[in-house]
Amino acid sequence: MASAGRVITTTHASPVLAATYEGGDMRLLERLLERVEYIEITPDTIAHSAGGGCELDPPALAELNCIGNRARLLVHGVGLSIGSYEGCSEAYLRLLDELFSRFEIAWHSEHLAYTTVGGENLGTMLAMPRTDEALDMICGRVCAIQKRYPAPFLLENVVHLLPDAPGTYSDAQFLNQIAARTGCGLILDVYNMECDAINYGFDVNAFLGELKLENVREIHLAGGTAFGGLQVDVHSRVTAPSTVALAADVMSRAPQVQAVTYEYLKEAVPKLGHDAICGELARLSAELHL
Amino acid sequence: MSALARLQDGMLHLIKGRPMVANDPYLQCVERSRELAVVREVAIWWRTYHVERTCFHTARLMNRLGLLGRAVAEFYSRAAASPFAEEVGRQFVAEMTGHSDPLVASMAQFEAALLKVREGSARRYGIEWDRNPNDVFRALEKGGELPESEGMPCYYIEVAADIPDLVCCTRFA
Repeated sequence: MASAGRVITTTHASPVLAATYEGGDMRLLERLLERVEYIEITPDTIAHSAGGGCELDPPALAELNCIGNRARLLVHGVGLSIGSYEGCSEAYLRLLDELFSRFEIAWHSEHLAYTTVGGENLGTMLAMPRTDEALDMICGRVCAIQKRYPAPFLLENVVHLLPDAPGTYSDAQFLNQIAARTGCGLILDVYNMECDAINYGFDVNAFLGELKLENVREIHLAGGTAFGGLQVDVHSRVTAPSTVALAADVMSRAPQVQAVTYEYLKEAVPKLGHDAICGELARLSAELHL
Repeated sequence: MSALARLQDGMLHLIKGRPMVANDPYLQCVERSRELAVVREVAIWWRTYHVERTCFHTARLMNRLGLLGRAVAEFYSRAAASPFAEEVGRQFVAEMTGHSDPLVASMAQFEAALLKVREGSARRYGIEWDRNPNDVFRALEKGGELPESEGMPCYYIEVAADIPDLVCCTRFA
């Protein structure tokens, strides 16, 4: 399979800060814009169902228009379900089409996972089995996406809350293969790696030693919580010092990282508060030299 | 069916808590795992969160009656719920319009009508209640006792865009 990846073009020589924005809070957006170079938006959270499909919320689009040239946009999906055997979500692709037609997107990304089976939403995100069948399918879809959109495409490692399915490849080998075959970049979510380490002893150092870190273009940071004895990927808190330290370690070894994104759920904003989010961005900027 | 399709179909059944048909060692391992219960619980927690925000009145009543948790869990297991939060609420409230408890059914019919009118429906919706709906809302608001059923439909709520505040309640003669 030919490599069809696009190169991320940036004016920054070193990684810069990015933050999530999920719409409906212009005061927060204005404060974010004073602190970050990129705003990460998730199409699924700024859209609603309409006439059997879905469409982007006009108020959210108006807010994104207000950003102008004060920050660049990153699109980070949840609902593409690139790993579903029956195919990616056409509804999500239509949202992407609309976003690309309206805005200049620096790059876009999705989780290496599936959220839908047989057209039915799981209500959660599951990791892929690392088999040749899954690898071939994912690579074909990544190439199709890269052909369809004029911006680089990245895939992100997800948390493994359930036991791994039998497979041929290690986590790192699977990501290396996808990147090599398609030319796509990677997002490393270091909080997800920490969750896996806490939950079942995932060997982060071995993973980073095996992963081709030159493919990593973005790092995701988040803070979460334990639930039912598991550390879960609910992005509801500021980042733990251990997460920031792990991000610093990855950054020192991954030469192509362009952005470090602090992620938090819209639902967590009232409890976190704007001040805590902005304080967190200031802390990450200082500690990670962003 | 490919190995990937068989695996994902099996995972769908496990996540949704549906009976398993596959005799696959990996799926059996997941079925026995403590993690599966946590994943299901988190997924149902999110569904409940969305239901509480989209159909506030129905969720509050069902919470008060101790019916919400089980109803959402059953809804999650059975229904092909939308990935969109507000649509999940609409789907849930639509299901609850046929609830065996007449008070829950009336409240869900009322809320489903309200959602439709607020989204631009020009229809008029009529909902019968077997007790005074104003007393029901007051009890939910203030934490007092819910009124007893009068044993038959005795109040009628109309919901329509051309009614001031969208809602009008009358007692049957």
